[in-house]
Amino acid sequence: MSLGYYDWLVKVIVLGDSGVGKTNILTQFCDSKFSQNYTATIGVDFKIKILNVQDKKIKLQIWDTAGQERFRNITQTYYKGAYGIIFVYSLIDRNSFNNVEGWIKSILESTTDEVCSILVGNKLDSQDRRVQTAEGEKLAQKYNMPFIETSALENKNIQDIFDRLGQNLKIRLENEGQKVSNNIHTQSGQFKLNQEVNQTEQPTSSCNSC
Amino acid sequence: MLSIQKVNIASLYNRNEEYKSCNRETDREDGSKIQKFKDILHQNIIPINELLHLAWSGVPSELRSTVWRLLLKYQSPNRDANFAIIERKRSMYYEMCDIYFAKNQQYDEREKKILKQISEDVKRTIPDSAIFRNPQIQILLERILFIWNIRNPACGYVQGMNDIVSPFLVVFLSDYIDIDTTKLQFTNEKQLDHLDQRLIKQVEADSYWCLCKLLESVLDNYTNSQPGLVRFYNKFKEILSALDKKLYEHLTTSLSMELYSFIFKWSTCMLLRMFQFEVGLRLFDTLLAEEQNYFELCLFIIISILMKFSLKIQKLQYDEIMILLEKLPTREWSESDLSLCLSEAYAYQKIFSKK
Repeated sequence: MSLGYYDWLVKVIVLGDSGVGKTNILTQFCDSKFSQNYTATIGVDFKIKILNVQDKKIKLQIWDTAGQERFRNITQTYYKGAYGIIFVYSLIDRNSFNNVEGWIKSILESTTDEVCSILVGNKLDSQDRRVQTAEGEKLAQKYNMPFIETSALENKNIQDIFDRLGQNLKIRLENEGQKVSNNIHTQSGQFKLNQEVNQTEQPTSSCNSC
Repeated sequence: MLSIQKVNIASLYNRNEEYKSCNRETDREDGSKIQKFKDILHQNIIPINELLHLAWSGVPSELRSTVWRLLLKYQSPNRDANFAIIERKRSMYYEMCDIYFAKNQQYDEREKKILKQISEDVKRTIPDSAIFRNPQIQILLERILFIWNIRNPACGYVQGMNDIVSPFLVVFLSDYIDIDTTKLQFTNEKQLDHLDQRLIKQVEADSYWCLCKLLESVLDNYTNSQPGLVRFYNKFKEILSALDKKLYEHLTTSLSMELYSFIFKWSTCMLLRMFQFEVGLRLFDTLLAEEQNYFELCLFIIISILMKFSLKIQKLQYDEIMILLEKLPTREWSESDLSLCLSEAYAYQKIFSKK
């Protein structure tokens, strides 16, 4: 199902401190379930999902990263070629919010590509809020990205993260698509964003022309 | 000299994805196997080499705690000396608890950060197990990991160590409490509440020291930039390409960094997340019986597993391989499936160690 037709293939990474709910957000989005039963992510995990944005299908290859600093070496290798970035903090963990700028800067330092980002404050279901909505909005404005508060537990606004990211991706891809199609970077109508993917995806991409 | 050409790899190489019709007669054998262990363990000076040999093929669960302590050289094979040595180790641990968890203890920022990390991870260690959801067990696990962190400043606590300590904890605890190791729950939760606190502290201390013993030869898997795992990966590529070139080529051209991250993920927690908990205990029997070489065996275990899915993987493309490797069917394996895989891994290891 997930391996079927699509217009674009996009690599997305999810970043943020340990325990803010990155894996839960993704599982809710990709598998429509929430479970308390997730172990800490080691290194990176992989998920795949087709996102419909109006008349287009965007295939998301999503990398769920470990929050612990020790794994930064391995998670950073996935920054390259990422086109969508989801920064997550926990509304009940002040430090995780304070650290978001560190995560944003780590992206700015390691990639020159323009990326579509979104800032997510998770755990909206909890009564013990430590970060106000206005603070999240302000930070998102500073880095010119959309902002959303979510609850993976209650499946609140999770789809919206990807819908909003998807809209921005679509606008960007259509613009970029025009730009690079002159540069023979398109293949079967599909815009390739990532060199690694370029080498590996030929067999699935051949049937994707729209 | 045994070279790879001289060994008929095909005879080893089990291309069946599942181990069917495994030797189920192990149940019948259990009686005599337990007796063999008991014969060894009852000697005044326990012949460690015999024990290593016997333990490699699996340790009966009721003897596991003693055998593991011996294999890790935490417990002395000399029965007379053992008690004093182990008591001293335990006292050392209790002293560390008193120092690092003293009342009014002030932690610096770095320590606070790692305490928070450990507490987050402890909450999600083997999340579907009632044992690990027990607050008393969680506090105990936090202490073990924090003390490990302080005593090993070069690498500190790294996510995945919480998984590695869990087999020790369950095995040592099961000496005093009835545990359903399949469901990983207490047969009777109240038993823990009524257990002598002194015994719980012993379990904690023993788990800590066994974690130390196990990790001492692989510390550079966990230090900055994790050089041990990079070496492990390079060796993995070298050996897989020799044993199954087609698979190797398909994997390395289909995936690049991704392959490294799988190897990394599996080996950081000693392959434990690849199997059901009970099967993980069986895995530890063999790893501990390998002494200092156990991490090398892990490499060959990974290779044996991948080769098992070789034909399938070769037909898959990027996404499908990724999805398969994310959710390997090894989680469905029984202990005897793992035993066969271990034998294969051992055979491959022998080929390469003789080269």
